[in-house]
Amino acid sequence: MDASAASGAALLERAAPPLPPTNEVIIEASGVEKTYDTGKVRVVALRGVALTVRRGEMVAIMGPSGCGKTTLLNCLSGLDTIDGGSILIEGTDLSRLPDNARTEFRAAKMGFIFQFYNLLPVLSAVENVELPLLVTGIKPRGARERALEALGQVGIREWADHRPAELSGGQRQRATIARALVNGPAIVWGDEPTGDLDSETADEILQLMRALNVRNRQTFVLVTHDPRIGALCDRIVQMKDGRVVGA
Amino acid sequence: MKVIFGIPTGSIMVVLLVVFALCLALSALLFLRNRAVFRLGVRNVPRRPAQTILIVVGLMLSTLIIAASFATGDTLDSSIRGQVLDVYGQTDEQVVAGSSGTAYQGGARLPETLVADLESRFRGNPDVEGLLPVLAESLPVVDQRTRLFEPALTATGLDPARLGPFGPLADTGGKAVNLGALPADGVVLGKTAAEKLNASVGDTLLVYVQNQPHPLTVAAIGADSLLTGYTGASSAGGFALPLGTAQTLLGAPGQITRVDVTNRGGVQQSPAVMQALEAALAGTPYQAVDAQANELRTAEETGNAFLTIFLLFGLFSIAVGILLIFLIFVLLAAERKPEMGIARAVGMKRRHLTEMFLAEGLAYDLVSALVGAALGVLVAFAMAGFMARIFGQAFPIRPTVTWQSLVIAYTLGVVVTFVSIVISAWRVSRLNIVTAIRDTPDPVPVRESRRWLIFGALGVALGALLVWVGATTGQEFPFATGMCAVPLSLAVLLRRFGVPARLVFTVAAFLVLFYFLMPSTWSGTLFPHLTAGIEMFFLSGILLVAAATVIIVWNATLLTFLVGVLGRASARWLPAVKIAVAYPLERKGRTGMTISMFSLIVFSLVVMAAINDNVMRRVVGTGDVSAGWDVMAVQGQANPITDFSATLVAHGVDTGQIAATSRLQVVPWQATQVLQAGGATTGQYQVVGIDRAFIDNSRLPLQTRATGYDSDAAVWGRCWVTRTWP
Repeated sequence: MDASAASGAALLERAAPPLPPTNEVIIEASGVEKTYDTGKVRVVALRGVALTVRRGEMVAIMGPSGCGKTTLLNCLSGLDTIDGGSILIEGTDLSRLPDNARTEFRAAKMGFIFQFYNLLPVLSAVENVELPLLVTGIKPRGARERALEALGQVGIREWADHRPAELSGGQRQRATIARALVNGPAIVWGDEPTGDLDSETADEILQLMRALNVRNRQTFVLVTHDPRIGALCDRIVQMKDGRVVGA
Repeated sequence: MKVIFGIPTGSIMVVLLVVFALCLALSALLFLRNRAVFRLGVRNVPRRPAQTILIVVGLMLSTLIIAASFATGDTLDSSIRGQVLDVYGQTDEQVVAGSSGTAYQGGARLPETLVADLESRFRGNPDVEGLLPVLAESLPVVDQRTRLFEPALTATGLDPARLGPFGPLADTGGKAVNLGALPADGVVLGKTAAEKLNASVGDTLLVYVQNQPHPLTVAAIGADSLLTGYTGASSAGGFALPLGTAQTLLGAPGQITRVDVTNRGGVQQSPAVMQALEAALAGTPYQAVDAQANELRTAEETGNAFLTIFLLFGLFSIAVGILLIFLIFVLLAAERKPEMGIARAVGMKRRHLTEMFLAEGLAYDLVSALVGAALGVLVAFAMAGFMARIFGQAFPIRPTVTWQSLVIAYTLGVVVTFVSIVISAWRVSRLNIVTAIRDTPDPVPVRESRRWLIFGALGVALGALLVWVGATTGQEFPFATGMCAVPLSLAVLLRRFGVPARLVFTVAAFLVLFYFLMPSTWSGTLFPHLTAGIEMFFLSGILLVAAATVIIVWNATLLTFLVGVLGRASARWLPAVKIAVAYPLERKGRTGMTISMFSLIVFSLVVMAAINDNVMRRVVGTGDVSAGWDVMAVQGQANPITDFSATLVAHGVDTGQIAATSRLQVVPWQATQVLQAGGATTGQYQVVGIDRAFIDNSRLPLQTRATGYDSDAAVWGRCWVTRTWP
């Protein structure tokens, strides 16, 4: 564990009391279909997927390689388009939004944590974290304050001016989490968020995400192979051959 | 240099400065609107220093070529103009015999009294400063000391009393020489003539008139100018002597060959003086010629002609530079694809990515254009050094670059690069977020988007319009552009309807190739008569290369197949070769751009070689050009030879070695006027009079014959019919 990083539990203790639980549905997908057609090859990735996630829930999507986990996450988050069915995020059908509006929606309501390439190498940690705020028109001073606050939440405020190349794997992923949370998103999407970390650091990151989930009542949807993540989540969605086979 | 491709350079500069300012204003606006994105772009510049240097070098190439072209044009313009100014000095106009409107001085004489008449007419004219009667004749000269001979030096008789406004004759040291105070046999020998004769002050020159030698003494060696018989690059120069002495020498008392005129306001006053001279000479057998202005125009046209050729290759380099910019940005985008995907995922719009690349590109652009312009001038000056070695004997090369050329080169470089960056940045911003994050190839759509339908329809409409414009105006450039735009746009349009890309693009590209490569007899039958200029080299080069590249890229699977078949013979190398072929085929766009770049370079080199070969054949000549003749002897008017063979025999030449001799009389084009039946002037041609021996002994096949002539002999026979001119 990084010396600078506090544990997720400690963060949770330092934070304000948890928000009350809610039964509000934040993600509602039904009959989602996605096919990749190159003209020569046709791959059906999602076959009528139906899924509901409540606000504040932490959900793991698991299954064998190629079952459509990442495709589902990309479609749910609006990164990718769907060929059939519908997806509502807080009641908004992303597939009906033009690209710019969809991007603004993502910037305002969502945070992302990926396995690789999370941070832009030419920006410092704090500049990376404030980027989603600046591109949505937040004033630079306010954005910087919020970015530093987010870095503080994940325990690496003193590394704010360092570039990603100067951070450890765990610190980079903490900075990524800070970026995912800085805009106060309703949903945080994670695609193998600990896949590139050693087990000790991975545990720390998991604790941190869980702590933030509990503290802020933010929805986390994580695609993973890691059973430890599944064990930590409220629910596991099992997928196979493009279908949800258990939730 | 004032005109490029028919457009004044001043206008080009103003337009470029406005566009340049707009580019900078747009960049400033982007910076102010979203500094984070701008910073993100600029931070990429020092990310990989070696890569940055390569990019700057790549981007500066087009600016370098443009700057070098302009500086070379300036140098040629300045050198040729400089020589005109040196030669003509204070002489602005000339009054000569004839009425053809040109400065023909082929021996026609004028009465010296004409000068006094003109002086009385122009007394009080504020524009005319002086009139100088001149008697000039080409004569053979031998330097007795060095025994060197020059067959045609120009003896120039000048009136010392009227020489003042034309500037004193000066020796090579700049010291004034008083022509009126020379000894009776003294002459001022021009610098070039002195070099050819290796003459020194005090040498005796034997000047032949009517085949009789007349001794003259070199009193001084003066600078080359009209006053010392020097008329330009091809001139052997001559010597100046008092008018009276010249008239006595040439047996032409009271006669002159021209009147030189000098203006108070220099050559700028030529239009006003010409108007006054034409009024004064109306109804006489004499005419005024704006000699210096005319030569300056010719100098300018020559400079522009060279500049046009250089710029033609500059255009190729711009095209290659644009491809290079696209390639650089595509590669940069490919390298940063996952980062860009993440940036889009967390809230950056396509516009932000475009702005990010624009900021980065602008930083490269401003620096590279500056470096390119500076290096371009250096390259041009180096070229001037080479030119001085080649043409230095003809006229001195003066390396020159004007601030206007520098501004045009720099702003053109910046603007071209900026526009290329905008388009390439827009292109790379349209990435698929998911494939970008995963760094996997983008999916190939079965059919293209509606945007392609719009582009295709617009392309077809624009192409049809260009065809119509070309056919209406008789210009091949718009016609050919339209003829190629239509099939290519149709291919784009058909893609929207799901027609396979390989099929439509291959057919369209073959149609473009067919248009340019079809036999001229076919195009003459199929299309209206069209005129074309040097710009067609560029257009055809671009479109031929583009079409061939499209065919190669979309049919590259055939290449893989062929590699597989041919590779069976050497199975050990097959895997390596297959992999080597597979990588370029995986990225059609990049491979196509790379092929196009190399092809354009090769195409421009071939064009340059072809032009060079043609010019060399025209200038230096081949066996065909000399029509089989080996020796040419030039006869001066002052020393006529009535029987050439007898003269050779009389001088001890063994004429048994000579198979044939013939006689030609050349009338310079300046002295001719071609009139249509209605009296309108249609042009001027050099006229060559030939004798029967020339026809009988020349190897001169005719390229085309008029209807009714079955053979070359029939044509020559018709020429030989004795006729009486009206």
